[in-house]
Amino acid sequence: MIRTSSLTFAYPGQPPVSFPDVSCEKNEHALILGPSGTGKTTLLHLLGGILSPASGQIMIGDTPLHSLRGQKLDSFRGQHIGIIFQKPHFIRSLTALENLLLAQSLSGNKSEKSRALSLMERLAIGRNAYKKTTAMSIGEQQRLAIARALINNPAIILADEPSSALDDQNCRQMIDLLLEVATENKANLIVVTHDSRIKDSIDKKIYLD
Amino acid sequence: MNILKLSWKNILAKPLNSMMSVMLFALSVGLITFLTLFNDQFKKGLDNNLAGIDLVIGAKGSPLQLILNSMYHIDAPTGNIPIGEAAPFLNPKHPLLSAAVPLSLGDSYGAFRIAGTTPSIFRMYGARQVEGDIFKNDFEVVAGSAAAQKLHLHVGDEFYSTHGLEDNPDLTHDHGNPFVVTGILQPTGTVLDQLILTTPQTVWKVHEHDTTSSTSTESSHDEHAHSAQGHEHSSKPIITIDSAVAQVLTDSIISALRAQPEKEITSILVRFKTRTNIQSLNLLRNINANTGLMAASPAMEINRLYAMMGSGTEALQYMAILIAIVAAISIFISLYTSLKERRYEMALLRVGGAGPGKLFLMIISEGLWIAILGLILGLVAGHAGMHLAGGLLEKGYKYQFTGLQWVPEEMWIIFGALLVGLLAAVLPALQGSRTDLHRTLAES
Repeated sequence: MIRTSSLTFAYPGQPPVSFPDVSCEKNEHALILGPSGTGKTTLLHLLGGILSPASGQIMIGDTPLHSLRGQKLDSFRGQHIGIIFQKPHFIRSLTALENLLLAQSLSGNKSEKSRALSLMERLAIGRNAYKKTTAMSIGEQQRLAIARALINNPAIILADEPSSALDDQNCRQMIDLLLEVATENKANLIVVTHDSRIKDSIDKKIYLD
Repeated sequence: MNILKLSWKNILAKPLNSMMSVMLFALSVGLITFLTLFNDQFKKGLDNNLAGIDLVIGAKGSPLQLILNSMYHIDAPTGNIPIGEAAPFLNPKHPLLSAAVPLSLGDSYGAFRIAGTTPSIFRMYGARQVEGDIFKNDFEVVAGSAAAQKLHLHVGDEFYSTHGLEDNPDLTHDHGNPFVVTGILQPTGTVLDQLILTTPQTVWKVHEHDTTSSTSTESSHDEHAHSAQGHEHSSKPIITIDSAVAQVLTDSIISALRAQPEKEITSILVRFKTRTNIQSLNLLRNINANTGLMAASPAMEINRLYAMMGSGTEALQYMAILIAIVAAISIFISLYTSLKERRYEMALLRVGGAGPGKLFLMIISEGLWIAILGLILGLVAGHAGMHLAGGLLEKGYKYQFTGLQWVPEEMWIIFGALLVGLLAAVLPALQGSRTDLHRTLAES
């Protein structure tokens, strides 16, 4: 569950930008839509605890994300927020499985190999477990990015333009898979995009302008 | 998978970059380790052989040469001295001297020097135990432990000596009496281990038999092997040298020497009764000014030698430090450039829950891994190098060099190496820990 109210953010030396309120109840997902330059990524980073708002509130469950700082913010982000970026990036020196184990350990959880492996099986990339991520196809990398976002059972999954690099068919599969696994894991999925192909996948829409 | 493991994997992921830094590091550590081991063993070797000797009396020449020849057995004698002139110092009743051991040098066997001397030399060098027995008559020899081992000498073996210090079969005295091994000393850690000891009279007698230069080509080794074959090499019991017996033998050898003032010996090793006695202090000057002999103080000459060697090793040490600096710069550059390539990875780690502290720790660990790898490689190389060079150095210096020894100074090498690794990583680590999350993620 996530709820924001009267969020503003100011880049140094610029007037503050205000954002519409975002709220997702249990099992609810949302799309944040808007053309480039309207602050979609900024809003996503605010929701993910990557940026801190100038004013306003972000409640994730019972936790006021806006008031967390430093290590507390880092730990909370690691444990409760899963983020999928536009392009899948990983730690290049590690294998796919090790990337997931690292994500577990960074969040403060125990590294559970069995959970990481079953998650990879669920996302149909089980055979890539011991490959370096650079040896995987772009589609497989996207799935691994989803696995990494899910590994710590987050309350919120944020996805930043997850479909921009994919063709129509893969785009469809990607968004369906995201919705499936988010629902399975009882997490709110919030997708930021300007990709009109996925407009109809999620009912709740928030427009930025 | 934690930060430490991750830093290790990051090092392995760039093997060529890492190897370059590791090798530079290892080179520097290896060189410093080698020098430290060498210095330590060089000084210990020299000090062990001081054996409480206060003065060496020999023929006029270079005092350092006299010391090197008579105490370390690594240089030619400055000449011989007639017993007539040296007699006062051989007098057991000399008021200033507590011990005076004559040395008569000139022959060798298998490149190990044969020294004509008295059994009192055992006490001087702290040799207490011998397998078999000490020499009692002419042509009986006691071999030092290293000499016996290298030459495969056993109690009861016979051999012929060679003139000079070279192992040259053409110079073998292969007629007259052979030497008979009566005893083998237990290791003393001194130059005694490298010597073959007999009476001074034996050394003269070998040369009296030698009317013409040897024409035989049969090598002394063959001769030895020949005689060795006939023997059962059962080891003899090890006995403690009886100092009373040794003293009686010494006295009789000394009085026999003093009865032949026209004969020559090479030098006398002397211990004072009291070092602080003003007359003892003046003895060196008196001998040099008023007799045809020369006296040299081992402590003084060895200090001079240290000073000469010191500047050489110091220069090498500076070079090693210079390499260490280059190694540190190499670690710095390799971390710094990889940091640029890994900015997004840093941001990912932050998003995943790692605080700036963990990122700092990760990059510091990467520097330390390289330092630790270089350190281990360097220590192994330094010790292995010392071990390999040991044989060569042993021949030159006549005492043992080993790479299997650990010196306390190496703790400083370890400490220093880790510190260098740490310092080289601090700046990149600071930079990495300050990765701007939002900007880095938004850029790519």
